[in-house]
Amino acid sequence: MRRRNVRHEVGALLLFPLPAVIIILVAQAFPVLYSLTMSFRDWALASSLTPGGFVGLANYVKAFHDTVFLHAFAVSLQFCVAATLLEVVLGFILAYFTMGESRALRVARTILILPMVIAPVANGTIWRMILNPQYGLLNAILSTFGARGPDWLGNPVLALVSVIAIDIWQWTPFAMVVFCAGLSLIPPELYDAAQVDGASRTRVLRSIVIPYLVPVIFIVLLFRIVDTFLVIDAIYTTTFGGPGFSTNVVTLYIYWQALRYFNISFGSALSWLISILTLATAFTLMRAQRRLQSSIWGVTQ
Amino acid sequence: MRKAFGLILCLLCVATIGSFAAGKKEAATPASITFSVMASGTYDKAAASIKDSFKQSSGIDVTIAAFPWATLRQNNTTDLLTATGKYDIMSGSYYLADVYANFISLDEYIAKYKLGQGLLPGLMQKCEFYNGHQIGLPYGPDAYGILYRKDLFDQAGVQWPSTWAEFVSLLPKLKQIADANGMATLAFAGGAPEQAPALFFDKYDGYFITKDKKYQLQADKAVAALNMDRTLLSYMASDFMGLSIDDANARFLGGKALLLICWPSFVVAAADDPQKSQVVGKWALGKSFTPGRPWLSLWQMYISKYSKNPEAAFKWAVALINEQNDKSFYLTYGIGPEFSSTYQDAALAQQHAHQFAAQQYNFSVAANPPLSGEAQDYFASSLGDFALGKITAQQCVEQVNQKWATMTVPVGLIDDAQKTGQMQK
Repeated sequence: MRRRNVRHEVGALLLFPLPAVIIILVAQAFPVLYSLTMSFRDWALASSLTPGGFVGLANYVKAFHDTVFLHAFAVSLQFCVAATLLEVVLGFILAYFTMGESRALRVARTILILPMVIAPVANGTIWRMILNPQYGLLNAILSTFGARGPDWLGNPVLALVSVIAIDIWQWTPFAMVVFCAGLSLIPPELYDAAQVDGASRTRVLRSIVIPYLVPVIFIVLLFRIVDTFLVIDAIYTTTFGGPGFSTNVVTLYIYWQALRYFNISFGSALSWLISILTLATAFTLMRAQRRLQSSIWGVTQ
Repeated sequence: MRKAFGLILCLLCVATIGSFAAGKKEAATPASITFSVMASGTYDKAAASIKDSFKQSSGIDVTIAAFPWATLRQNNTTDLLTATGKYDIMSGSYYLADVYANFISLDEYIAKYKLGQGLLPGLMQKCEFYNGHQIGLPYGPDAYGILYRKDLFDQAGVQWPSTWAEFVSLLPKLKQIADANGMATLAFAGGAPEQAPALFFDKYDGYFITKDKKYQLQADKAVAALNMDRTLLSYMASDFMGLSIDDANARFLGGKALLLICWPSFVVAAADDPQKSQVVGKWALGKSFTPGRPWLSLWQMYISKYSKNPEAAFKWAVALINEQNDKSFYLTYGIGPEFSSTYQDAALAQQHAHQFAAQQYNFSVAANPPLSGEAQDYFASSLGDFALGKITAQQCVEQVNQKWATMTVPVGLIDDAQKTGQMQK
């Protein structure tokens, strides 16, 4: 009798999350799985309102032969590596030097995280104005020193450097905030012990701070790698992929294929390729983190 | 039982009468439509200027949805392909070829409202057709052209050339004039990626579509056009790849460029306004050169098949396209006139002699390239790489032809290409 009551209660309790589960399935799982099935079919919405026939891996094969996609992938990779590394390093430096609870440091931290709260599209638009070769703030500042500012967004190399710099400006605060949280969790006794032992600041950094921050560093790396690889807003609002193809990144190309030209199947295939790649990167990073931590602490967390 | 049945019947009657009344009320509500247009500061403002008077005369309320060009194109396409029906009447041109099937035929309306009378000869024929039916109504025609400093040309005794070969051979002399006056020889919006094809179209008179209905550039003519472009690029302002349309125009208006390659409608009104220009009375629009077809921007209004008010939408088009607006929009906003009467107005013709003759000629030879949005975008980016010197003319043409071979030509554009001689014979 009692067992039946418990069963009845469990059944009733399971009903409570059901609406949420249904919403998640309908709103998230269905579109994701639908896009997967579309990637194996032939569907350009501009030609037909209904999906075409099964084409197997044709869309995936096409992606590997698409020179624009391959070039965009290379640009995304450059963007991702440069932006992530600089954001992690700068974020750590900023967090380390603004550690503490004094009023000045708190104000400094607040100011430093401001770029992160600006909408990315607004951020890109502001930067496009700052980087304007004729009327932009940056070249105006350079001209006060007698220097003639370059054409930031018109030169292919500088355009890529500029969009990377915009991403760094906006997202270094994210790394800083996470590092600040990580630093605050290091037990103060460790610093005291190091001081008693006469450890230098560099030694403290190398032997206490960095080992303790390994999980945090990997979290920041994971978020920034995924985010920079999927960047679109800063590029859409500043260079629109130009000049030529020089800042054309994969996400912009996928957006064009799927939502500008409505090549739904090809766009889906490209999206899945990139999703698989980012997932693989995430798993690799997580494994690397476990290995590194076990080599530092001798245990697997 | 009988009582209950009577009560239900009574309630049903009340509900029916109520719904009829509501229906009547709805029918009495003035029609409202939404017009999508480019936020150019010209077309959108012109539309907004007649909105109130149109509502007074017709009772139709028009919402003007203005967007930058790329967003307008995206929003129009998305609206049609998702059958949303948010925009009753849309602004666009040939790059909407992928979605022509979603526009209604305007043949009946054109006949009913006698639209088209008095328009420049051949203008209606340059509009878009689908399955033999006209789907676009022209407004704001413009042809890519070159504005030049006529005062400095006259001072140096230089005549406006008639062919590209003559123009190119004249460039060293023009550079001397520009240098002597402390200005750039050529200004162009190289920083607006979608503008890159303008330099090519006006020098290329080959085909875009082959006999077997595939996209392809005629290699020899395309390479020749690009090589000529290469020469032109060497005379551009050093920072031309960073100039937006407004930046390039501002350079000419500020007297800092001898020549401006541009959409004239974006600049001529300002160029004649002493408040905005330092070149008032000093400039002229050049007649386009041969060979080539200047890029035609024939803005058209299309009525969505999802519009609940196609008749109201057409009335709006009629209100926008008429002889009176043609003159006032030209004078106020610089929008290219499309009625013969505007060009025949003696006072206007005299006042705008530096522009009218060339403008009419340029319209007559200009053409829309028969390219879908995807084909044109790829072409524009490739031309960007060419302008940066990353690829040669030959490589550019090969690259474009290779990519274009994978794209399908929309049916509507094949008709266009045949009509305008841009298809392989």
